[in-house]
Amino acid sequence: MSTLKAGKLVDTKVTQKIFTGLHKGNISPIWAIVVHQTGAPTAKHTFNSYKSSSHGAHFLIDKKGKIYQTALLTKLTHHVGKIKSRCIQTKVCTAGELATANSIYFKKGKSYSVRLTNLYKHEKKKAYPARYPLNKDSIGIEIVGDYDKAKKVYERVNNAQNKALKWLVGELGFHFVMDKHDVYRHPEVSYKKPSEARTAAW
Amino acid sequence: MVKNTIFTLFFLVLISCGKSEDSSKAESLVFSDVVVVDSGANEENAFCKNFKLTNEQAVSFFKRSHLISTKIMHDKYDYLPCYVKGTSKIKDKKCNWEIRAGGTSEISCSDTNYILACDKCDDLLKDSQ
Repeated sequence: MSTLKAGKLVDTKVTQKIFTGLHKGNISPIWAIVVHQTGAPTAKHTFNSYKSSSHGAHFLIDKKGKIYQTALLTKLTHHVGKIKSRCIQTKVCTAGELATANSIYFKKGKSYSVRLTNLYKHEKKKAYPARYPLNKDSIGIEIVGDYDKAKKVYERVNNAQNKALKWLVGELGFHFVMDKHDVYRHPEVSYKKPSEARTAAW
Repeated sequence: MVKNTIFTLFFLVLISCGKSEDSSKAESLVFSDVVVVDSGANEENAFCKNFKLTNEQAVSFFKRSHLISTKIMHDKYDYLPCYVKGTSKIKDKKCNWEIRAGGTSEISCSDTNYILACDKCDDLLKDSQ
């Protein structure tokens, strides 16, 4: 069983490789995990990008299933993007709330981008789980996986990666009191390619 | 029929040098024969019902776009099910492209693929009605 020390998940299965540039402030109580794929062929590509990018997640699982912690669990990172309306996606909400969200989502005369931004601002005011997780209350896990520009899909998550993901999700769920319903594929919560993390299993 | 009109327009997609994180290496793409052939959505979705572009609007999108990497597409841009698809030539090679309502475009040529993004296309990427 792993332990948590000063934002680090301490276990022999986890290699610490913290990029402080990913830290964007203190994280709120953690409610959820969002699973991503990197869109790059190797962990090295993503580590190189983390040296200058403002976007990244807390953990990275390489092609062999090795787990790296890349940001402290006391810090939020930018990994989610604009969240979708959970009310619109699931219809589990009041009729009034659905009407309000739809009025923003389908607003005539506004660009798609503006409508998504306005809906995101509306959603942010809600508490989890009435909305999808935000950067401020979720842990991001990146799985190394390239994006095939010709086929327009992410590559499959391999068995070693899924084994590592399952272990990591279990440990984080234990430490932050989350269950499987609090673990999301990135395209479920925000507007991303449907194939991203589609083959991830936990 | 504007949709079926083939016309030739040459223009450059200039890669912005102002945002190093956004752009891949400096390069320019020369488009010609830009033709819209289809529009729709990847899923049954009323949200996309009125997303259409004319040939001229597709040209405007490409003119204002810059090349991005897969990572930047993932990190910074919204991917929406609404698309307009079409054809063009780039460097005399026939290419198929799709423009997404979230502001990105993926282009497949015979041996090369490109991803573009437009940050100032709100006037193009909205309901056509």
